[in-house]
Amino acid sequence: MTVTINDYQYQEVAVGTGSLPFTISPGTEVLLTSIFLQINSLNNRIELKATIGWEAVLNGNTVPKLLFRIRRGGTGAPAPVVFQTTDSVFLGTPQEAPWPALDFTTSFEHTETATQSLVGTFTQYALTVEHIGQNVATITGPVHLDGIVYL
Amino acid sequence: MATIVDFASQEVKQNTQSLPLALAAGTETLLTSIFLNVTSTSNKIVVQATVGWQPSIALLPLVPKLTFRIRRGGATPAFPEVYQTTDSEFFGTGSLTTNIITTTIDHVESPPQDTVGTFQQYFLTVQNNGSGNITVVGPVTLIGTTIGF
Repeated sequence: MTVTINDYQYQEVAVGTGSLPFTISPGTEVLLTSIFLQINSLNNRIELKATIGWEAVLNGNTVPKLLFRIRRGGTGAPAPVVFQTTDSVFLGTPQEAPWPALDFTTSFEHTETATQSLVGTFTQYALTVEHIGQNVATITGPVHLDGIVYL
Repeated sequence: MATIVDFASQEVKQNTQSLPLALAAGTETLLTSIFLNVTSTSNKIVVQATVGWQPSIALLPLVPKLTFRIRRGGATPAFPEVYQTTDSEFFGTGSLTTNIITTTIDHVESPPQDTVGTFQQYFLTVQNNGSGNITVVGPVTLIGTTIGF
């Protein structure tokens, strides 16, 4: 059986370009980027990959916890979350401060099968981040999102 | 409909060939490279890499930071840097053990006109940008795909 590539799209923002860097505080879901993928069959398999570079610095009680989401059909609620994962780091105790900023790279993958309501549409997939820890973190980049549709 | 125009990969397993590889501080070091056929500006060049690395125990405090780059055409700063990211680990003041960290990166680009009709070489490099020593323990994996439309 032959597998064909129906569609492929990507967005990539390099370190220090576009809106980067920017800081994020707890409580707000922030759109990073999005792509549109053409879905034309219930047999489509959609694969998404993302890489995000971010930075945190110990400043009092800093506990960076970043919740990454992929939403389908919109860039925020109520668009359904089709994938989410959390990345976090231990930056040390306040007694150990100050430390220089530490940089981290988070990568993840998601795959899903097309549903009937998606067939015949260009469906938007949005990559978002929400800080659910304490203090602030900085999205330094790169911000990368790519998607492929197999048939 | 898209097609796969080219695919290339390199993988070095732990404790084979030049691994483990101790990195000199501040020096950009080539890990591996691949060639990809570029046939059109509408191509998408997809590059993925995975690197296992380990900070070395030494005098604390340490702030190990490793910058990953993908360069096109050559491995030195004279050639275009098409991707860069940094990963690091908190070592604190009292850590006596070191962890092996696995960093995975994804990069995609649309090729510039002057690369069409060529086999372009993509280089994966690392640079120890923090304090303390870092060893690339492996694996070192570099995968590239040219998608044509």
